[in-house]
Amino acid sequence: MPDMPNDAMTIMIVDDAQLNIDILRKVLTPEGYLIVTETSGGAALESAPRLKPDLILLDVMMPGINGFETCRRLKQHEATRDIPVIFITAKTDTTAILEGFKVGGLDYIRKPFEFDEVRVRLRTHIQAQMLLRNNIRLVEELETKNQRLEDINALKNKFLGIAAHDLRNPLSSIRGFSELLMGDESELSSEQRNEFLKTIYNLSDYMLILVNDMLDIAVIENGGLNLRLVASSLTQLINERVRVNQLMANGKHIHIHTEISDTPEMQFDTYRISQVLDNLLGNAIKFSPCGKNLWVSAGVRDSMAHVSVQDEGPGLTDEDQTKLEGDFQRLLLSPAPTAGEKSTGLGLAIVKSIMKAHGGELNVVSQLGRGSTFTVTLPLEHADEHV
Amino acid sequence: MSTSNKPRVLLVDDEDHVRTLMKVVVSALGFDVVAEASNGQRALSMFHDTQPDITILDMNMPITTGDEVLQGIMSTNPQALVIMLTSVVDVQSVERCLDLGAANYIRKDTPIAEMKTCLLETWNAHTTAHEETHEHAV
Repeated sequence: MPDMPNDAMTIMIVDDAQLNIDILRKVLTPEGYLIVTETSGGAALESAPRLKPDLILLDVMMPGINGFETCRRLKQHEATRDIPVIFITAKTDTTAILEGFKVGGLDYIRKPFEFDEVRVRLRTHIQAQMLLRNNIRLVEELETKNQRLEDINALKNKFLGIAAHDLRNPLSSIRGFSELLMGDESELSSEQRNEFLKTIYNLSDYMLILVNDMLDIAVIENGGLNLRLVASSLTQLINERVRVNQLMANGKHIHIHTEISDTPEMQFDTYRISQVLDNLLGNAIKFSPCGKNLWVSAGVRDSMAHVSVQDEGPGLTDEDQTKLEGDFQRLLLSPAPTAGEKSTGLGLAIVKSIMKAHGGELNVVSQLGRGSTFTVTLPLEHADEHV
Repeated sequence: MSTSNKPRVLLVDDEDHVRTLMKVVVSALGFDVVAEASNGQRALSMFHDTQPDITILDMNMPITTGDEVLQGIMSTNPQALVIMLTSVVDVQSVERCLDLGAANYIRKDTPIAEMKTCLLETWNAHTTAHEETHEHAV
């Protein structure tokens, strides 16, 4: 049969006369349909919701529940409502045919059967049914894609919002300070000039970090965080990132204590894990008051490498910790940097995604007023898993 | 208005760099920045403490927003001169602040010369109106 999938359509024949069932089975089986049969309306009503045939051939004159009543009941139930019903009737009078249409029948075939007519009618209805099913699938696919597009659009709007406020403000100031610096030299003291230049530098630095974070989030949202896994030493990387961040810590007289056990060589993306470590160390330094301590520890437990950064900062409220557990792109938590540093609020979302892509995770234990411990875990054996 | 000839200014913005820039602009006009606030709550208490002639107030601040601070100021000092600072062109928010009693608004990306003109004109219009009201009352 043209355009008919081999595995596809199931036809239920409902007739109290076994002879009719046998004839129809003989005619329809070669067409490639699967045939199921019932000999009463009651039995059809019981099995149709379970078998979900693609079409029902239903005899009108049956003892017990007749064909019209069976059809009416089928149309009342959600599971069987959409199954097309074609009546088998010996009657050719208009009243019976009209009654069939009224209770929800789609068509009728007459007894005695004209085989060619039966084949053609069935083929037409089955093809219409396939088209309908195909349309429903396409609509569902479209809805899914549409939802995805709406999500992407919402994210884009959110980013535009961030760009509008968080990039525009520093840009406005950079322009203002530049204007002042380009103006009459005698109006500004050398201290002022240095202060303005330093502000311009700091603002542009923040903007660069924000743009990079936004690009990272965009890459993650598009499922494009492809890791470049290389066998490396996590211990060596942690020591290196602690050294780099020590400079910033020195500026606030923050002492970094380390307790880093040797970890075996393992597969990870060094660029991305550096980003994670810088983020955790950077946050701990940013949010800690001057003169406090940080503890960086690392070791192996349960086939996972654990890296923790503990601080003596302000700690997180329960509300902030709940925010951290959820899905977020931008996290504006209650604590503020303690020495005028800038925070984009995007860093922890990036950390979380990078760890997830590595098959690890980010955890936080925090108590308000008593500091926080951020821990990332990384499997010693990397399973292929990406964001 | 204060007894000194220099108008006394309260600067309110949650971002340091904006306050730094506005302080230079305001000082260049000969105005005296008497207080700075980085959030709405502090802005309200500083307003009551310093009773400034001009309040330059950021519209977009976390927790207590600019229009909430404006309402707080206007409820006790309906004659206060408040100029809003905005980062984006949000006509509705600007109109709302003007309805609430703000005298004018300045976009943060306005060239400095224009900022100065705007501040000066708003101050002059305010003092003229104030004097007229005073004379009328006399």
